[in-house]
Amino acid sequence: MDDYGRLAQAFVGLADTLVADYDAIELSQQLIESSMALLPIAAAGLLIGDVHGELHVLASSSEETRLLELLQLQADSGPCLVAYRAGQQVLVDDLNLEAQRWPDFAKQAAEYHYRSVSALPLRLRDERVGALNLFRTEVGAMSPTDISVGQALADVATVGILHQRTLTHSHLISQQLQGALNSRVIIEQAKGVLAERGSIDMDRAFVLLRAHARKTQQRLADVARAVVNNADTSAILEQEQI
Amino acid sequence: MTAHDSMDAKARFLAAIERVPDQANGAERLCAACVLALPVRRAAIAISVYGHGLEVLSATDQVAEQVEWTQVTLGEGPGFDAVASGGPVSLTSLAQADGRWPMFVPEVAGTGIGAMYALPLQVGAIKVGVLDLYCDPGEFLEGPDFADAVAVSELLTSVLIAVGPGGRIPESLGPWWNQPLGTREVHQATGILMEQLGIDARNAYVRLQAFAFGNRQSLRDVARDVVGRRVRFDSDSGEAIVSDPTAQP
Repeated sequence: MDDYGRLAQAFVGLADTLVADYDAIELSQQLIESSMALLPIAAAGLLIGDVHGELHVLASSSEETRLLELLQLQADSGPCLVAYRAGQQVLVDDLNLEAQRWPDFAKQAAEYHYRSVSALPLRLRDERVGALNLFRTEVGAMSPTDISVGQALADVATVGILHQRTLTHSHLISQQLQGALNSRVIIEQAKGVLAERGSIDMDRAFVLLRAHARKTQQRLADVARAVVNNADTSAILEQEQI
Repeated sequence: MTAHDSMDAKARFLAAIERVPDQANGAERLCAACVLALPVRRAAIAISVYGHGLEVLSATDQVAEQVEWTQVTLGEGPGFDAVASGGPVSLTSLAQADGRWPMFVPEVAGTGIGAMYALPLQVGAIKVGVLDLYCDPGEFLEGPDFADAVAVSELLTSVLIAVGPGGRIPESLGPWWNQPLGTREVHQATGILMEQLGIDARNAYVRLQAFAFGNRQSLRDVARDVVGRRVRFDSDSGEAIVSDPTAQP
């Protein structure tokens, strides 16, 4: 399939997700997967701001600790925070050259062989929502087309996370964002239960949780809530070959 | 709005608790401290019961109590929506309700309340209840003040989980309570403890808190040790077993 075909498929897939009672976390996760499939990147993370203006990881291309730590690190100081606060794209073609600006982030990114990063803002008119982070292992700029595709995905994420584009009041926006963040907390609690019960790592626990939600056509947060509220988890833990 | 500001709001709240006279009902002190620490007129706390319902725990005055009882009795209002959505719900004035809460709004119209802010007290699947804050007509919780209110609601959640509903709050809550929460490890560790001890999420969180408090560690550090398998809880003795502290996660 050509690039245009894959792009069309990604947006059709996302449109399918935006049905009546959809799940902001599942939508975010799909956006990450679309970004990984469509763009020349090695890792991706979607962060949203809480009511205090602090960023939290809502979805990422891996649940491995090292990627999450890198994302959280730059939530405190890095391109992602700048993109979020300014509401503008921050494109870093060579992280080595920015080592002085973000020493901790640049150092840790280099350890994981990420050489360049693009941070694309999630915003709704004047309201800052979060940022999409795209990591690459090569130095150099992404093409303007790739950046546009990334920004389009970020814009879809914004509308999806906020459930509707007509939100005007900032309190309504923070309500949606805090709600999405709380869903993420339930998922983390459920991952803990599954990891301990099945003697698996957190990444695997998430993969199983999500696969089960899709298979049974439930919202990820609902499956996670059931796990935390003591539901039988054998169907989740005994899935094969995922 | 920075992390620093949200910490300040928590510190203000902790200081305010000590200024409130030590009454029999600890929950009343929590409400009173909200009004001292935040630019609001009244506060009330309702506690989640039986999964979906709410019960009035305490309020700063009769007006707040009346609104709270109305909400709980009707089973409708901003507080219920906040609990259901997991995010704050605000009503800038009763006139702005726009048809939402068709029973609740006319019932409380005579109370003279202005803006109402319902902040859920919960940590993921652990639903403690809701904090309702009320401003005088024409006054609002904007920007940083609203963020402060959310910070206070987070602290309140931790305290209420620790003492249980109606529990007695110590005269002074020390600086240990003023710590950032919300790292993934804290919630993952809650899940791990549920499984290790065969208890529910709320009690698992209590155990995590108690262990951290007892060892004067932050919740985040203890959670990291639990997730990294350096600390595990024994289901027979209920005791924490600290294994090799240098073990890799």
